[in-house]
Amino acid sequence: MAEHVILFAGPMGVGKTTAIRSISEIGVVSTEADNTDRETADKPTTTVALDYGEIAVGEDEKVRLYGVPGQRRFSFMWRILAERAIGMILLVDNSAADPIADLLAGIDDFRELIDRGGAVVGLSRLDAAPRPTVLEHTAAIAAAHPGLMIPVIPVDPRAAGDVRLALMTLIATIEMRDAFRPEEAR
Amino acid sequence: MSTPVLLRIDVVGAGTIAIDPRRHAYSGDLDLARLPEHPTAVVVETHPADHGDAGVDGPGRDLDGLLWRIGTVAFDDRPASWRWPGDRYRMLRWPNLGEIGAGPDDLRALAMLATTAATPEEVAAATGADRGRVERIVNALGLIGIVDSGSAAPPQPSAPVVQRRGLFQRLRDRLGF
Repeated sequence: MAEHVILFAGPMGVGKTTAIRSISEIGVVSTEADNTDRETADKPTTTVALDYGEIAVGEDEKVRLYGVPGQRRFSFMWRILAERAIGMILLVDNSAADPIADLLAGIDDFRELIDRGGAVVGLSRLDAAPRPTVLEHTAAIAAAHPGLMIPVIPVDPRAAGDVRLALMTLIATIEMRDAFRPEEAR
Repeated sequence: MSTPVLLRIDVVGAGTIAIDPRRHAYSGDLDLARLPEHPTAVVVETHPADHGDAGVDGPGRDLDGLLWRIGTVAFDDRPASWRWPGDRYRMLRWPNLGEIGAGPDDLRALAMLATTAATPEEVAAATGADRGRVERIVNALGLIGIVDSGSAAPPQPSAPVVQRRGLFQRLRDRLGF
């Protein structure tokens, strides 16, 4: 069975579970528990290990979608899941207190995966908080990580079309980087 | 010292837009989907940036969308006038995909130009995209100002790298993307 693992990462409450639910062909398996940090995200439960969904590409091939827990105390899970992944969709809530900081922290946390595979940034709640703009997020990445080019896409995690666009952009990026990786890095 | 300007563009019969290049934003009643490929008349006005009536309303929309639309239709399938034959192009940043309505072939072409410098011909050969469409994409990226050009070395794909039936294509078929 060929499998392709894609991570959905980002702070607690950004919409990772919802995004996976939008495009998964199976009921999303979630391991949630009571949220004891209502100050960070005002929702009754939060993911403590992972969410799981999948898309069957053929009889013997699946895209596995894993949502990683947003809270830093579960960061040991990030490493375990990242090892199996080919890429990541990093969700950032543009209405958060400091979305640029969330963006850059997410890149730092998964830099190895980003360099090895690829990443797409999905900006949510842009309608409620239009600044920083997509361009400003892109500029922040370029300033903090010269040479690193990551697509930044407005994403409503509830909208399957938005999440599909992010996923397809990620796959296109990964395939092209694989195709044109320098000989010494292959 | 240069003075920042605002632009006001009236596409006769289609609508009017205000552009603020400093904010990379535009606003107005011009529906991009209805922007004629060959408008009968276009009136362009410039105003100093402190001109009260000519500014962009609210946060505006990302200028990428407008420039992409113009760049992909203004020169048909031919290279834009500022381009040189044989140049290879490499993208400097991704355009705002939420604004440009990129199709699957566009995505693959953009992903390649984000990865390596290539001519439109090389992009078309590697991705299977229509050559004319790639010319339009490069024109649009040039108009947005996010593509570098020059005589870089040709791209070196690891064969058979650009798989016509790679995961992207299989997933595209599966999702009806």
